[in-house]
Amino acid sequence: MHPDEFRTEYEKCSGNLYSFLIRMTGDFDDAADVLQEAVYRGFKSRNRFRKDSSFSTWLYRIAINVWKNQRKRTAHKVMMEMEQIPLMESETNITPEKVLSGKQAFEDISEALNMLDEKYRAPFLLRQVDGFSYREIAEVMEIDENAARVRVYRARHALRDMIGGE
Amino acid sequence: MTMKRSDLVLLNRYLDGELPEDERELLKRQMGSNPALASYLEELESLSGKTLDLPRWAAPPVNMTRKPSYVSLLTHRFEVPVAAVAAAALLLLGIFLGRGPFSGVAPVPVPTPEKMVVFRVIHYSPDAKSVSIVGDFNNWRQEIPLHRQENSGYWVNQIQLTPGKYSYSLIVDGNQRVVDPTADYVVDDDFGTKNSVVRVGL
Repeated sequence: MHPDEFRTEYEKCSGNLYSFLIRMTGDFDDAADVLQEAVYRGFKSRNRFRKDSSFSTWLYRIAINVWKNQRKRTAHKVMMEMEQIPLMESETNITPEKVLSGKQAFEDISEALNMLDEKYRAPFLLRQVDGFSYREIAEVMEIDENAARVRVYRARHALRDMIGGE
Repeated sequence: MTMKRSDLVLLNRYLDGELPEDERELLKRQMGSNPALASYLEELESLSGKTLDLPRWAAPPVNMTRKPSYVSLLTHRFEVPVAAVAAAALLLLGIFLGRGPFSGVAPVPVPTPEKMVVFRVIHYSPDAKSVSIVGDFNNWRQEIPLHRQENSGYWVNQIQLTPGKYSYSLIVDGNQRVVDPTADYVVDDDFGTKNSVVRVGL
């Protein structure tokens, strides 16, 4: 792929990809870091891009892998720090994972999205915000199409519950 | 409220526009006799509407050929200033090589990452059905939608930009280009219309 073609294709999806990464990382700086690395890696391997999938699907997949690797590095550090903090007796049942407890009504969908597990948040955003097909979501997330569909359905159900449904 | 799994699947497929005509008609008849089903679909449709209103941001500039600096990732996590790490590394290297502050040779300055600045866009247009913004921060390609503040005529959004001067235009109802009255100044473009200009972080 010619560098100019890469640049043109990137510019078509750059805003959407960056916005997606902000919603996955929760941080503007982290999203910018992931974007920079994903674009660098994509550009380096542009000649390996097969035109049987769309450019945006391919670049989103690279970005998600970059983000997952970055998360592992951070989680490892967080776990190490947690192990160094002596636990009080009353805190022994607290885990570092995010817990959605009980029924919480969110007026703002952004807040509700933040509470959604990443496994469901990513395909939901890809479908509802970025308009990817289930086949494309499956390619980006490296899961099968049925799993992509189920995750989006479950995300919709969970968000509906969080935003005041019964 | 509990629902049958098959009904949930049908409603989701309906929402995705994947149901063939005959199944859509069947579902509509079912919703007529089952208010809970109709209500659930309405809530899913409302949810879809809300996601379309989520803010979007213009991507910051990227360098396609420069290897990412992981210093920003590492120091962000360990909360150590970039300049301190760089200065310490240079000092050690300088001492090792016989250069640095004791030899009269100035160290090479390490570039620090550019801070992004928030550009808040606010436009008053109570009769508009949509307002968006496009500019040279995204190469005049994607229109970024503004969001109507509830019960007001104000449309807002915020965009992360690196400090600089940016030309842009507001677009009302998809086809009217308007100047932003809150812009720093206005310039003529090459097409006989006017662009707004804003200085961000300067």
